Amino acid sequence: MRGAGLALTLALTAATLALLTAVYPVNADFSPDNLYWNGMSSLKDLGAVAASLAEACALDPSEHALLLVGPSKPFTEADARAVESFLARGGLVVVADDFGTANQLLEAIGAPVRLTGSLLADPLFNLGAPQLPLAFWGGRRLALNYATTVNASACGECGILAESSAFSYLNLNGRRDPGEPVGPFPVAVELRYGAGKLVVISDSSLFINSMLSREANRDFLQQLLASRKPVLVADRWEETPLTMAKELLRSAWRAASSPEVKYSLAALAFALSLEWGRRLARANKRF
Amino acid sequence: MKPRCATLLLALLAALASAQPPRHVNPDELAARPPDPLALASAYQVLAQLLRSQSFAGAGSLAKLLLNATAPGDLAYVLSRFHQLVLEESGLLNSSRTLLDLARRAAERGDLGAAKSVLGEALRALAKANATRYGLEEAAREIERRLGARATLVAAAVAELIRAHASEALDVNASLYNLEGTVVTIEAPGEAWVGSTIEVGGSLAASAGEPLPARRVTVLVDGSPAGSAVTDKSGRYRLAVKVPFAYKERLSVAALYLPEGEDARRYRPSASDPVYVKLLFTRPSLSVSVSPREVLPGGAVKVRVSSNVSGIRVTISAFGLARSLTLSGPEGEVALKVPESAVDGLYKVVARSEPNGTVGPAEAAAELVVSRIALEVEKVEAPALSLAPLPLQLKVCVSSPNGILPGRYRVEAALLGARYEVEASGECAELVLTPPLLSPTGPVRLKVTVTPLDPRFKPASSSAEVRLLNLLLLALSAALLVPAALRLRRGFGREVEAPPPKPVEAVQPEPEAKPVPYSESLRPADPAILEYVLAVRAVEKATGVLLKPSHTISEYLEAVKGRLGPALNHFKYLSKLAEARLYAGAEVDPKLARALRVELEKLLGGAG
Repeated sequence: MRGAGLALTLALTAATLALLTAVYPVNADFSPDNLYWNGMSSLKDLGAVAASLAEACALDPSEHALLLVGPSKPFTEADARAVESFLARGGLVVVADDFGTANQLLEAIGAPVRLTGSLLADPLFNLGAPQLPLAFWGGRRLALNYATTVNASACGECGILAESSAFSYLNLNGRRDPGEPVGPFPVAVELRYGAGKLVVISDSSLFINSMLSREANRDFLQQLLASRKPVLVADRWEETPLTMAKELLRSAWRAASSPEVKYSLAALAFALSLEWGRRLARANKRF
Repeated sequence: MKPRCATLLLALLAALASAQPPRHVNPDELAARPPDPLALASAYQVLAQLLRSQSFAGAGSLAKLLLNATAPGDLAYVLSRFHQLVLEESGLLNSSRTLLDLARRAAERGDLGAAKSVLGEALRALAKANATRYGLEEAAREIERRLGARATLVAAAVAELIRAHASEALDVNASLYNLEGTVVTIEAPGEAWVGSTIEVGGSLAASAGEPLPARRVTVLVDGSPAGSAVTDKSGRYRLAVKVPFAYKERLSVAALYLPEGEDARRYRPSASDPVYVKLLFTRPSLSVSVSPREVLPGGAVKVRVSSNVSGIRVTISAFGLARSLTLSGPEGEVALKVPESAVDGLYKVVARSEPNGTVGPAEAAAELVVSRIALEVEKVEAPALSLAPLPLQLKVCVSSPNGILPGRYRVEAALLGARYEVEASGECAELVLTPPLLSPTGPVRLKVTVTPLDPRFKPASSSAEVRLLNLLLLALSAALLVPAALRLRRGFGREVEAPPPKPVEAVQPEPEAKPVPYSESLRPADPAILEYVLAVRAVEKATGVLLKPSHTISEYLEAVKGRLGPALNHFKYLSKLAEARLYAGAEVDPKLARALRVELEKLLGGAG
């Protein structure tokens, strides 16, 4: 009887934890399930779907655009080949990163552009702080958030889509110094890659919930995508304990949804409840 | 030593944390800060310089850019108003500058009506700029007071320009109303070969008709000075002018008189109406053709150029590349390689001949279609049923409409988020895919992409359905089902072994072996409960009422209490002790239970 009580307590605790994990809101950076300021749930309004890099690269490149936003996990040679293949088949890949691992991918696919990794600041044109500078896309403005710049000096055929103001500078040491490089700096460039197009943006935050509706950020993304369906690559971010737990829960759910496991579990639950009921009845009647 | 190490470690961690800036902050949580005064001051310095050098387009662009400057509260309004006023002033001063120049030129041509009208417009623009200036100066002082950025530099530059333009307007005004007009004319041949020399001439006279001798008249060809001549006694001039190698329809020739020295204070400048000279040159006919008209990326085409003029040099441009060819006869040919990176589509091959002396330029174009061979995934062979996570073999076969296949191609397959690839040649390729450990049982869509490594081919894709049966999940389900089945069997078995209804036993009593009382099967470990069980056996013997498995302690007491007589209190007491021990876990003295049981047995007449 004591063992049964312990099992029941454990089962209830596990169920409560699983339930809490399932319902606790996601707060991981860039997550398409994160409804807060640092998530990218707003991209769903534009028809975005989340997929792993391998899944995304297998989609029809003429109808889809890959959004690689703020990657922080290293890219493998196979990842690079998958992206290369997607581009070669006429796909559009938008890489938006600042201090992440996108340079690894750019190097691996031989793209002649790099992210400089220096913090871009603008003391005049900003969203209230120099680290949130405004960039100019044609006659319109883009709002950046802790961005860096694109080094396209080795790229002869790159088109500059957006650049920072002439008052912007690269903050190399946390304060404004006279010797620091001054703008304008490219913050978004595009280049042909095989039959496809690669767009490199030097800010990973341009499309997060709190930035997408600012200035012309949404229009910029829509113009980049044209009629393609955006696919957010969702397996390039470091996982938080919560996302890991949710993923574990999802895997368990997938396995449990398999017909053989589902019906076996149901049968076991029925048998256990029968046994339990019998034991309870006996305990009530006998000593 | 330890605290020092810890401090060093903390400092290192802090340095690492500060070395990498955050990826973003919540913009809603930021309090808007005023713009950096130093940056603003440097912007105003540049703006003032641009205005002083009358670079109004630059000043306007900078003022427009400064409209984007961010500031909190009412400072945002002051800054925005100041930059708006600078933009307006820049526009007005640009207008007055242009209008003053136009007025001066009209006056120099002797078109007094137009000059007066334009001058009036210039003065109106200046008056408006002057009126706006006061608002500008107010805003500049406010910015300087609140931010310390020297905005008054810009206001001062604007004031300076207004004064300069006003003074220039007065000069133009004076020249318009006090000088005598002049008339200059020009004559030229109706047509001329390019590169030849033509003779032009005309006359210069005061507006009253009096010829003006010994004055210099400048001849302009297409607006540029081509030479000058001095008028003779009758006010006439002549000049030989070289016709430029300009391969167009016609050339404009005009005469300009600009008074010099004393004449500048007496006569107004004048310009003749232009006369037009038709230009003569040979126009070669040029035609271009490409063969074949449809080509693969990386392929070669022959470009054939023909012309009615031999010896001309032709430049052929296509795909952003240029090749040169000199036609020694009426025709020439050049081979062109289509870049491997060329995408499918229609391209233009343009041939341009360069002009040479009296032979003019010519241009012709031909169209070229670049299209890659469409590769098709003919079949994707996968087993009808595959056991996960064991590897499964996939066979992909490709074909093309013309039967040509790429030398090598890459086959990629995606299955449940995992990606597999292989490089192959020939018609078919084989891949081994390993489904993930927790692959669900059931049909799964497999996507296959074939990317040729030969640029002449288009990539192709296809999909297939694979039915998976996951062995691991099957084993897991078996592990769950077996105990479930056993439990269920036990549960149903009890129900089957349930005793038959009592009435049947009552109707047909059989002299069977006396069943062992239930109390005999009880072997409690607890000494107090053991005493109770022994008491129950004594009560059973004395009363003949047996304890049933379904009885609770109180139910059995109830069943026998009418038959216990004086022993009832002892058995009741013992039952309560047993209940307290069993259900409440209370401590019961076994000696007391034993004493009660012995007393009970005595009262029941030595039963037990």
